[in-house]
Amino acid sequence: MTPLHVAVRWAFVMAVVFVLQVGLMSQIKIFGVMPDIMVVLAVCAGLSGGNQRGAVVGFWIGLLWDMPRPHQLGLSALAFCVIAFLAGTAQVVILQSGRVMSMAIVAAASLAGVLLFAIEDQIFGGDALTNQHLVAILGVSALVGAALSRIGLRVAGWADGPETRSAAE
Amino acid sequence: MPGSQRRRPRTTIIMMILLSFTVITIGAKDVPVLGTVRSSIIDVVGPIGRGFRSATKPIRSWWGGVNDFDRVQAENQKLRDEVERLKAKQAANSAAASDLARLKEQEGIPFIGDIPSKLAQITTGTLSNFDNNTIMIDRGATSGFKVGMPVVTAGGLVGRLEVVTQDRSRVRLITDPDFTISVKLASTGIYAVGHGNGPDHPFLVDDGVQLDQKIDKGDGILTSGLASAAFPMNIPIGTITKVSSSQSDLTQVLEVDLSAPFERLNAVRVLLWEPAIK
Repeated sequence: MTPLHVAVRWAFVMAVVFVLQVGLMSQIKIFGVMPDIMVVLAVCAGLSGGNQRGAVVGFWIGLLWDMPRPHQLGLSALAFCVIAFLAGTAQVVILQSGRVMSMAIVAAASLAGVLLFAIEDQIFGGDALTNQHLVAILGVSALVGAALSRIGLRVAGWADGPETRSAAE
Repeated sequence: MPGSQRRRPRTTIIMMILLSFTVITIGAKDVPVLGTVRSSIIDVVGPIGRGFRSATKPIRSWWGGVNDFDRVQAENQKLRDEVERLKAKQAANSAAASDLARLKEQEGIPFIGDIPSKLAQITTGTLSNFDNNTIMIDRGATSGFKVGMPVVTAGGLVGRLEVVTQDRSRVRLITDPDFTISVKLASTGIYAVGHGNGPDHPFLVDDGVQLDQKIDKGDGILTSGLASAAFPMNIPIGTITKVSSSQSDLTQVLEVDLSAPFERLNAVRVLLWEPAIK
């Protein structure tokens, strides 16, 4: 697959997940918290495509997610590119481990991505880190990450193409 | 070369981090092009949310466990609105006599009269778990809306327009801790400053009420309508539920139960009114 094909596939995946996030997930509350599937996709992009692709795709996923939200533009882009890059460095662990370990890694990375966003928001004048529901938000992020890790890795693997799919599946 | 291969991932992440900081910087500067892109996406998100909401309505109604859910909900809403309207009227009435006297004394104070307004429906709540103090409504600049216009319900003040796109607007709710309002106590006419305290906490008036001033629980809090205020005068905000003293800065702290029904907002009214000082 050419880089253009990969870019088109990723654009399609991002658009579909974005629609699901703003349409469906915004109506679902788990312990009062909206599930964040954008961060899960960013983490899976890193785990599937490696740290370099993860950084680039994570940036664009974050930027898209920043657009309709009331926060400073670019915060999710920064958080997601860093976390997808770090998740990409754990790609080799995924290759050598089973389903439970990959679930655990996606869950931990999703939690870390949301926590990183909260830290950035606090630095840039927001109050996300001192939010009274922070623990619930992080818990639900990890839960959603674990629950959607398989499908997330499959989707990311499809977008990356057969050359890198082995890592995801 | 192995060395350059080792550096490549590092170069990529450094570039992406720099790009992110560039976006953050540009975003903070309110660059028009970026604002337009953001507005366009907000315009797109509204119908998506409403479409999904309509599509999942039967499931949500079923989940509610009541066959006649919609009718009961509408009837319940109507009754609650009526109660809020009466509460607001009561608060306004208690202020009316003293207001009239003050108005006679001070000719020229801008009186809101019949401010033109437009009804708007809430499309989505906030799209962030970290910000419960915004809502999206289904009307924007094409309806004459501008940033800063007040948003109310029959119960009282809800917030003000923070972002206005062609067909959508984002409302910053008065529950936001950074949302500061110049207020007036309905019965005594004391002017003070209040601010939000989060969606699950009462509104606080903690600046301007001296320790020696007598404050009664149940007294109404209204917008002050001072020349520099961001809102027209006498819009109900809520009623005082608790009065405590803050010895350190020699003022009283008033906890206010907001009169607008924030936990079940469906539609709001946007006042086509702009503050004199922006």
